[in-house]
Amino acid sequence: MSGDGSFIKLRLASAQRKIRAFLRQLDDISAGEFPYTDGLCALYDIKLVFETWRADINSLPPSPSVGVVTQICNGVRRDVNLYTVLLGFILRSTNLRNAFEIIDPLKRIARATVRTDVRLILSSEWDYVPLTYPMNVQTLRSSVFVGMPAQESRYALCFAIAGHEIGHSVWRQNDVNSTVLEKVTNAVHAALEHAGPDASIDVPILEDNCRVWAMRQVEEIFCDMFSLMIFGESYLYAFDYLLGPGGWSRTPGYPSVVKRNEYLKYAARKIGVPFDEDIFSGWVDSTDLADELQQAALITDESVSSLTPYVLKVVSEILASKRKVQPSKQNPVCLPKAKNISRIENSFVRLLPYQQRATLPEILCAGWRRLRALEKSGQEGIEDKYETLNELVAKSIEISEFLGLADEHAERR
Amino acid sequence: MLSADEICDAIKQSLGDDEDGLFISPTPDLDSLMRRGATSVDLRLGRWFLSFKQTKTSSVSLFDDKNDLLILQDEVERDKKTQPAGRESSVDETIYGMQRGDRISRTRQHFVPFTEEYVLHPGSFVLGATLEWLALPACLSGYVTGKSRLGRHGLVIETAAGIHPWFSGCLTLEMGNIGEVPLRICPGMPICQVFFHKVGLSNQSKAPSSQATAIEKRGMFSGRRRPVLVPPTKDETLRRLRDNAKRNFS
Repeated sequence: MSGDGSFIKLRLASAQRKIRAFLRQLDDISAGEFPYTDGLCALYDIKLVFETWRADINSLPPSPSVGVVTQICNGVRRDVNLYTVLLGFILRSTNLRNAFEIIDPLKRIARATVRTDVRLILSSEWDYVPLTYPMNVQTLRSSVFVGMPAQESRYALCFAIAGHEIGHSVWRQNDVNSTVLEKVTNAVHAALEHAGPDASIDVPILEDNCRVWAMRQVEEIFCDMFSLMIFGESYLYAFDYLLGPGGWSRTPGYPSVVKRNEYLKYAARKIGVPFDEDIFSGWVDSTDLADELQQAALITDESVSSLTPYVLKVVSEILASKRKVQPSKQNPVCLPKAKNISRIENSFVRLLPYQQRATLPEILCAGWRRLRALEKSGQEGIEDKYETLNELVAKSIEISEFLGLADEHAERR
Repeated sequence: MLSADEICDAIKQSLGDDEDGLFISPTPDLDSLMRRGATSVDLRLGRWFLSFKQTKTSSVSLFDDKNDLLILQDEVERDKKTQPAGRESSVDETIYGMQRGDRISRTRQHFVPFTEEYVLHPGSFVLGATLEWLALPACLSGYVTGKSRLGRHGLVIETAAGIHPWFSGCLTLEMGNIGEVPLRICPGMPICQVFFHKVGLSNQSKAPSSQATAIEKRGMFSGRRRPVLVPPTKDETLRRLRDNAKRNFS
């Protein structure tokens, strides 16, 4: 082995090769067919990250220090890992299995709630879904990534779940973390005092852990309530369909299945969202945590439970502020209107798409009502009926989009 | 053939939830239709397209409804012959259990947003769909034709495709460019026209359609929002003819 510092050259050459390979892959994906350009724009932003790394390496002095080289090479490795996942995500967003009619109306919702220049990348995923990316990629702050399960991505009704994923972007964009931190800290402290932990436990560490977990739980509940207030009952039904009947293993950062359902029902009643009382019936609660986590989880759960009305208030206030910014006839931030849902449902009963303008959540709510009615009736040929209903829902969304664009054009004139 | 007045009346009927009305959504500009006094309704191009891939499929049967399956069997057989003894075929036979359209897809879908365009090259052929969803009552049928102003540039649409009473869905359009320059088309543009005709009904059938009848009939004829490639219809007479001919003469 040479001790002349050639390992530095080799290390840098490896980093450069990684960058080249990544950029080549990125270029290949960019050359594909993109129905919407949002994914392409995100690719461009990612490209800039790697071109910056390349420029950094090229600008190094002839004999850089080991520390600098290590720092750069680690940075390149980290970003390759982080962004490769996103390349796959963006690639899958171009797959024609997706119900592309959803994208524009969903983007309206994201633009009205996250930020006005937001880009929406809607993908169909094979791994853990539904999900949102990236929780921590600062480069792509204006992109909202929503992954739907691949097998469901052609079915419009499931997209009500996307509201939860958009909620994560709203949480970050509005720095809700800072807003709720004090309340969460106090609630955890109160729950801890109430519980009276064993003398053998290191209380400050326990309190810290509980606070971190409580913050995560509050974010999840925030996203659920956000989606509920945008998508109405369709969120409950999509949630019930995609995640039911629960029973998955518990992590302290998530509320237990039963608790989460209770919070949703509580919020639905508070804001006047109608739903079938038997929703979530038969759900199985999350499996128990390991013994050493039990006490911490109890304290976390108790504190979060006491915060539920507060979280609902935070969501309501954020949405109220968004409504003021975007007053319009078809404000996507408003709760679905019962009258419109009934009219749309009537069209679906007649096997016709809805002819008037309606919001995406109104169409999805009507679709879910119709589907549940069909399934409850136990009619034959439900599979074909579901396919037809999906066509009617997607077409209604497209018709509404078309009418909206025509109206906007007329208003501008 | 229905006049502009009659078409408008039929459309207005459907706006009032009358099952004997003509449902077209998005609803055409009725004022413009009346002004033009046209006997047809212009329909717009939708956003989904279906083009044909270049595959190793040697030909496509237009009469055999098991066509795709047979091609696959041929492939499996061919593959088996090329495999060394004792080795499994590389062609996955489990896909027999899937739906017809999934077995061997010769087509490729495209989605084009309202802001984008689709380029139809000379000599190429693509399936599109109307943006409008149509639902015809028992008393109307229709014929789809291209628009002459587009046809003059080489864009042809299958002429006089019939639409039967109770049809419900978006119309699949067969579009070809027989001109010499690439043609740019975009979703939302008027692409074809439909002429409507009254259907001679028996006295019994002339009674107003109930909602239940309409739902039942539409359920049978319900179309899709995307262009579809329909497999050949099973024809028992043709099957018997070919089977007997093979038995007797080959």
